[in-house]
Amino acid sequence: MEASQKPQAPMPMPMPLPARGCSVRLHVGSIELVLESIRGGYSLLCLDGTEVRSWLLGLPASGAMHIEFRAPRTPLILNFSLSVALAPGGRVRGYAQAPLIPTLVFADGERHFVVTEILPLELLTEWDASALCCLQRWPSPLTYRLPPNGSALRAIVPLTLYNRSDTMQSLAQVQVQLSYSELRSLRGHTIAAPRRLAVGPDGAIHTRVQSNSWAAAR
Amino acid sequence: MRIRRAFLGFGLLALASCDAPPEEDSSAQVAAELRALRMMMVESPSQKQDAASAKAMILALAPLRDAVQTLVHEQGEQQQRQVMLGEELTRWTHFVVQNQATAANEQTAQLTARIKELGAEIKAQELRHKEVEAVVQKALDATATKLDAWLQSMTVPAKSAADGAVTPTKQSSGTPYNTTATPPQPLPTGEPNAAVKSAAQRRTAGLPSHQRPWLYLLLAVGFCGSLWLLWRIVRVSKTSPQNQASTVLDVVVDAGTETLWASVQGLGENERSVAKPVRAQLLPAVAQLDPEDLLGLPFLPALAEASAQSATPSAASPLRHTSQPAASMPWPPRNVPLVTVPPVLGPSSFVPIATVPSSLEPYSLAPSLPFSMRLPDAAKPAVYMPAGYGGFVPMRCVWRLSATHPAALDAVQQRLNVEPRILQKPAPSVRWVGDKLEVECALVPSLPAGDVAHVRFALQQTAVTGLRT
Repeated sequence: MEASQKPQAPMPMPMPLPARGCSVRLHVGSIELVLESIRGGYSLLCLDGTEVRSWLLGLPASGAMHIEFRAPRTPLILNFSLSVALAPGGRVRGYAQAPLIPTLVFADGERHFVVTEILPLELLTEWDASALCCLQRWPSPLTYRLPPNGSALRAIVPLTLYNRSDTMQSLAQVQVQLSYSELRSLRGHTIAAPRRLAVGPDGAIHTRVQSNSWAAAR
Repeated sequence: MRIRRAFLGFGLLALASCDAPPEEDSSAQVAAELRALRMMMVESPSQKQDAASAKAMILALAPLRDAVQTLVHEQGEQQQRQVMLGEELTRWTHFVVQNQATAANEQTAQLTARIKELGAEIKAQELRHKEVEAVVQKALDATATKLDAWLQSMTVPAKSAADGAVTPTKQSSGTPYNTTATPPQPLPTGEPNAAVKSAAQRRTAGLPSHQRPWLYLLLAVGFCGSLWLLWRIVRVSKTSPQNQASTVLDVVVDAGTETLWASVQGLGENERSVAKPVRAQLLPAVAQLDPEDLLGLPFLPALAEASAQSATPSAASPLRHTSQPAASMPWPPRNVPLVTVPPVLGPSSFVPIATVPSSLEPYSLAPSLPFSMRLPDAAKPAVYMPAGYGGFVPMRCVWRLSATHPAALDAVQQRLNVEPRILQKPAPSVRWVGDKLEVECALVPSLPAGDVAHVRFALQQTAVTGLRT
């Protein structure tokens, strides 16, 4: 039965524009979105349990809004809760969890506009001077297969850590780059393409994205 | 005499008006007193006992009376509260049903339509699959039949040639040769496409024996040519830019590596020169820096110096010089001409590549972006980022906020430390400039304009109220 279930592309959540005087409520993970039509525009309220963010939106009536659950744009550093030690030739398999960013998109025909991105508070962004790009840090477990119920939106990233050097290697964090096109929805969860991270003799981590099966499923 | 009669009459009247004799009244009183006494003797012990027990009960139940009264009072309050909660729940239920009925119906309708579409697609795919299977089966049957006929035609002329019964003759119908001595081999009964078989047999059997080697040679050449073409296609696909990158690096490059390559291209270095000399000189320079100084990018002089040293002497000008078109550049960049930056005198000497949104211009006081560098066209992140993921350079913002609360500085600093849309490294800073707070921070790359405005609005609110949220 499980083999017959094929991964599907994550479907965006539609957010219809309310009529005058009405409002639309959506629950996205632990976030509640309230879009209310007020005089002269729309009021968007975002409650994430600790903070309330509000926007005043001006939207034409011809378009439609939806919420996409996108992967982080910048490379993501997953900080493991456990330190991984790999003997030469040893490997560890696990499931990391990456954040999904609810992105409110306004679509007017073929054109799409990002209204706002609701970044989770735990996602910290920093400038990496060595790579000359921005990185985002995210705490992730490695031994849990599924994220807990009611938690923030997360994507499951199957990882295989392999030591192909001749010395012991220790990993406390790994860097991955997710893309929106590789995300698939399977049995109520969002899954990214499996990755194989091999630690070389110089300590560098070589990443191999095993996306063949995912490409065939598209 | 008359007086005697009057006395007698008067006496009779007095006698007639008298009641029962006095003995009966006294006996009745005695009897009544006796009954009363008996009643008192009978009733007095129970009444005393009842009175005593009532007093004892009252004394015993006195503490409970207050508790019972309190319970009754609380029960009444709870009953009233329950009634109020029930009414409120009813109102909420009506409210929720009214609000979500339309959305739920629309979502259900959309899901139903989607399920129907998927079902139709599955059916259409099954039909196409069956059609393809039928076509393939038919083609296999036809191929097998033709191959069988060809093999039979190959065996028949050989036999007849061995028997010496084949005499090639010229025909007037235009066909070059035909076998006239031996008729075609009879086909087995029940075999399909007998006409095709016989036609193929006639065509191949018409060739003279001395030309058959040429036919075999032609077939061999065609087979070898097709193999060469196939090998060529595979080789070309393997030597495509992305595959070449994966073979060079021995990894399948993911988007993270792509971003890194984009940054490397921005430096104008190939992977070897970056990995060894540039990084060897860049990393110590960066490591000595304070993270807060990165807003001004003081490590860029070291970067420029390292790039200038790694440049070839043939390059007369250490500055930018044009290279091959971006579309024809290999991927990842190999032997890319160096693109260096002039010696850095300050943050303003860098030309920003990130376009500042028009909505940000009133807020930004600094004209230059510290993280921006000159990048060739090939290093634009649109090549490596998916749609909508363009841009990887953070946006520097300097805002001056009106602050009235005495704790505004600490509140804004706390807000900057927890705001996910603000980079934590380099650390954002806030300081008093006159009566205003000057905030200097870097925002996440490609942040929507609405979010940029929202960050500034939230900081302004924090500066005014002194509260973080």
